[in-house]
Amino acid sequence: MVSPLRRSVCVISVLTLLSSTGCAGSALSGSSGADTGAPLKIGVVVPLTGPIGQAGTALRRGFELGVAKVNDAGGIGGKKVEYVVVDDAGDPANSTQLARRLVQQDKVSVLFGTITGDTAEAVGKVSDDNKIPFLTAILGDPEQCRPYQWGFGESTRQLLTPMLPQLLQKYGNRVAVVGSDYNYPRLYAGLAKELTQAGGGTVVAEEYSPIGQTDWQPVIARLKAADPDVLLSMVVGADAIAFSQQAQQFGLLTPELGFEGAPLDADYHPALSALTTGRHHAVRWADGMTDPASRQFVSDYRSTHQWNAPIPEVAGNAYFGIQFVLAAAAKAGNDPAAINREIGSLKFDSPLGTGTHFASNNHILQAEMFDATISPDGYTVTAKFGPVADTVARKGC
Amino acid sequence: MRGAVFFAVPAVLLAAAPFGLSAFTLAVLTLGLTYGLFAYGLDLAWGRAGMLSIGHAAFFGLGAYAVALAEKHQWPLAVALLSALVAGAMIALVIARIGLASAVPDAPLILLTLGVGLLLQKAATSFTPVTGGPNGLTVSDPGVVTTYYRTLVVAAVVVGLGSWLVRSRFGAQLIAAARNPERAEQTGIDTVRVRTIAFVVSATVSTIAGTLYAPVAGLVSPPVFGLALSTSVLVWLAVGGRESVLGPFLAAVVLTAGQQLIGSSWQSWYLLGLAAVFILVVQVLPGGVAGAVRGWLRRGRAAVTLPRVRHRPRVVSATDEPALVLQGISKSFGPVRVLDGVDLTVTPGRCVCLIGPNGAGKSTLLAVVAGQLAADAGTLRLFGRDAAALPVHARVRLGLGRMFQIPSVIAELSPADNIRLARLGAPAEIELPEAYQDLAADDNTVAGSLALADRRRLELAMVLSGAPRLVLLDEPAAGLGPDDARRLVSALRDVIANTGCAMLVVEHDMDIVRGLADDVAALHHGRVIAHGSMDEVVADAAVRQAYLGAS
Amino acid sequence: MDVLLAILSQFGLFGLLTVGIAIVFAALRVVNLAHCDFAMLGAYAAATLTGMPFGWRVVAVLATTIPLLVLVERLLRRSFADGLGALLVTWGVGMALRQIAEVTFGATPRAVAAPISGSVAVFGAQGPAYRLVCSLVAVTVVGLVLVVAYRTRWGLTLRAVADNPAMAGLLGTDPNRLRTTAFVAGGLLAVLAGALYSPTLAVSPSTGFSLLVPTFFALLFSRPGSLATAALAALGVSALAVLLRTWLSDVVADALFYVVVIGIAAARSRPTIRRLVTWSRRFAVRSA
Repeated sequence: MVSPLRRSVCVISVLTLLSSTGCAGSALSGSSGADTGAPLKIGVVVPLTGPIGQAGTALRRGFELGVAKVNDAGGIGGKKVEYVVVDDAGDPANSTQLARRLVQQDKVSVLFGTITGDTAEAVGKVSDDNKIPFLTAILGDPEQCRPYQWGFGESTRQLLTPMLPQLLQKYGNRVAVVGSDYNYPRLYAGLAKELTQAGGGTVVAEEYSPIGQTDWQPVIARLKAADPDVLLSMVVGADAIAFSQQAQQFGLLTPELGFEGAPLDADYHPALSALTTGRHHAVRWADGMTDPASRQFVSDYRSTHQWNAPIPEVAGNAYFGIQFVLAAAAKAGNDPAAINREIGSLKFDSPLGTGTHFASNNHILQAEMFDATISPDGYTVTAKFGPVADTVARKGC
Repeated sequence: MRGAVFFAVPAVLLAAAPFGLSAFTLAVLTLGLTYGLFAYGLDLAWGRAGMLSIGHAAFFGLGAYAVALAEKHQWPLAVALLSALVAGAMIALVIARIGLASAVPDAPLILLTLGVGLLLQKAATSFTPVTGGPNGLTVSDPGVVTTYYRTLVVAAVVVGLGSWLVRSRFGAQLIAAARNPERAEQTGIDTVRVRTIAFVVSATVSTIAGTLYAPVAGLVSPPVFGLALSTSVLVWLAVGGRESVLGPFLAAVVLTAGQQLIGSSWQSWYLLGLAAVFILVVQVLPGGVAGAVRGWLRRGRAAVTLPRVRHRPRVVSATDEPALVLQGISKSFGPVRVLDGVDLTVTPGRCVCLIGPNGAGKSTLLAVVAGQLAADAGTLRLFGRDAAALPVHARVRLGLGRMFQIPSVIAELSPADNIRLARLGAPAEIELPEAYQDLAADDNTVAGSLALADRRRLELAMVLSGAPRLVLLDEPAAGLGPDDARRLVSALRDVIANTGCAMLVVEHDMDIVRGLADDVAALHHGRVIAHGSMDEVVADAAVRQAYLGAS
Repeated sequence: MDVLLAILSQFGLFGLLTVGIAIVFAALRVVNLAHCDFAMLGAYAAATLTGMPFGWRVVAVLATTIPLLVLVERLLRRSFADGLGALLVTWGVGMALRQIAEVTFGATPRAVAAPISGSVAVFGAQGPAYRLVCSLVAVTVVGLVLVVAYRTRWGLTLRAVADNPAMAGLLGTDPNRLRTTAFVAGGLLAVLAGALYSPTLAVSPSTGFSLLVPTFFALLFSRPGSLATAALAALGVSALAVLLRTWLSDVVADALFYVVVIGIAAARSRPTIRRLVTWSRRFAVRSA
């Protein structure tokens, strides 16, 4: 019998392959064993490929420029900050594995990144298990608050609180909500309902459709039948484009209808600007911000990456967010738990606001919101909503 | 002794892996092992039972969600696991039953497996309060090393049981049922039952792999039921090689490691490369890596061998009743009445030849007797038993044997294995006549490469090995030269003389009929218009009219 | 009326796709899992070749995909001995096409402006003009394909080969040539579907893939080799999806769609029900 021989040869070669590639993995991190000074090391888990690769890439660029800015100014404790970027392709199973790798093998002190809620959940779990702070830069609030997880993105309440009254006043009191069928749009709709009622309006329709929907005619027909004045859309991904286009083709999306939500984000600007030009969008950061730090970032981003389209908000959140983290690390040193404590108590000035800080009972960044007007070239900040607080407690913190 | 050493080396290496590998590498190896077990599970269906499932992640996901739900809602783990296994097995049972009810099971199987997977994914996405919706559920991990050993032990036990199963009598039956269900039925194998069991076992193994996956992944979310995973596992299995233990494990571990290590920075290009490799493997090495290695090791010989299992004779009660009694057998296809009240009796030790012009219903009658077609009306008794409702394999077990117009053997097995297979369930150990001993000893070729005459000899040898009491033959001499045909006729006469079995033969060639038949029955327009000796039937006015086309 | 227009629009899309995949299945006996990814190519052509008028974009992409289709068919030819092997090759081709699209165009979805804007009223139902035009074009093409299949020699040969692969030789047709033409014709229908419907879809690498499952269901419900039943099955699947979504919320309708499809598949393979269907058909024939 030859097969046992074959088996052993194969197993040995697999193990050799694994161990050698394992070494290559640690070599990838850029820290060799001889490095005794222990600079701060950050692990970044982002989708660089797959359907949301674009947002992940923007986050990574914002993050890298933010780190470069701090490193150019001398780094932290006299040492340059290091980081490892890994691509999870938006698959939470990958995120878990990669986050564990970053913690166990690359020995990072901070985790950063993720776009979608499920990958954030996956990395958040790893960060919690290993007591490593984890920071996201996306919109949205994780359902559960974790002691080691913090978000630089605006919360849904911060997004809707300043914008909804303005929409109700301008367009009318009848609000319709449409979303992709997953957790976040339902949370968004719940809050929209609460704030609409508080503002004296009514929610006249609420529609969800499975992700990957190509034909929106039935949904649009139902929405039209409800005769709304304002449409809040949390239809995401490629569906956002299909929905918005069909809504316009079917005569639902007219200038007389107030429209706000995910399709107005900068990610969709190249595809949808024809439909969204002239509309107002609530943002934490936009590439049209006029402060010097934002201007500097925008020009760096454009020249480094030959980028002409509007820069997604997530890039700005990541850029200023990582500076927040590094400021905390500069005070706390390399110990993850100390950094985590410092993040919780730091007050940091940036274009996102003066004295931005995390609320201790929900780990949401207390910062300003802006009113951006969409033009064919990008987002112009036309008004400042000022600091928008969200201190509603969430369980887990 | 050498074998033991060779077996011990990989076992020791796998057991020692945690001491030599970093935590992350070990975690990747663990993930690879769970995927490998999943691919191994799929192999039981696709590779070994010939039932393609393109939604096998449905079962994998059930296992993964069972663990995650148990943790989230604090249900007893054992109950959750058991429910997942039972649910997976039930779904698999229904899918296999529906699929195998169709003559070509591929299309319904593809549709059902795909549909069930997508439906479960929808369910997991929509029942947010229970399943956490698209964000899924987190699963805690007891530690890399513990998880690794647990995965290794469970995978080893499952593979051990699986290997035992495929080396058993059941495995032998499965080999035949998957490759040539028609011939397998003719050796008394209940192919639907055997393949259904294999599919259910496959689903169960995949469910177990899913339960191992949950703690390794740390998070269970709806894509675990999805098409992407279902097709990944197909890729692993196709690349690794079907009907192998090592192939799927190796492919899963290597491709998972590649995905984690190379893919983490080169995802798009890695997937593109994977697609190219996949196309190449399917084109150049249809048997995958394991198939290629096996082919190289066994140059020219059959790549598949029948497990050696003990002969277990089936008890058949002796009877004096006629071998076959047909009364008023009718069969219509749509508006066409092919058989219109056929009466026929075949007594032991006699050979009855059915003659008649084209379209007289001869082959249909043979198929009705064999059990492939059900008669619309009439009674059918085999050896005194009412057999009208019995399926093909049950009639074979009563002592029916059948040769097809185009010889039907298991092409991938050696001639000797074909004969061994036929002997598996025979009521008695038959010593084959001298003329077939060469086939019974031939382990070095594949039956598919035999010349037509040899394949027909092999088919006859298989039928004889089953110790039949009534043999059905459909144009046994078709395609044979005059010498081969003459040899076949004398071989058949010898069989009748030596074993006392009866024969019912459909034949056109009057020379062969003359040499073979004790009685001749002439069929026309679905009725027996004459029955008697050759001379009587040939002289019959109605027969002459039928043949001369007066009607 | 709204509902009828919605069904017409969906039938145009899935009719083109299903008839295309059915032509390929008839000639090659292979379920082409890359079929809808060819539609993705058509959609990308409409999204990227913005320098040309829409109609010329469609023509250009149809012309340029022919060599690719011939190449893929050549790839498939090697694995004919093993029907499953060819199926897997098409899976690999689809995966490669999606990745090539991602590497070339990026994963960000794009939008295509409709060449005809404005809305029209048909029997009292108001709808986008382009949607109506593209549905009508698609349905006309499906009709033309059926005419070719049932009224020309090529169609006869194709149907004969679908019933019995050995027939091609007897009919004096080179079977390889028939396969190539059928694969190209089927593929072009998919490309056309993708290009025509691109203004109503978001164009991304996975555009085609999301259309595969309904197309696949429709193919499995049709009789092998019969393009008319393929078109009917596409109509059935489109109507089922639209009607369910009109009566119920999208989420429920979507789940129910799969339940109904699986249920029908299960019912069709139950011998008793099959017998009942045959019986009722016979009855219908007699009473007619």
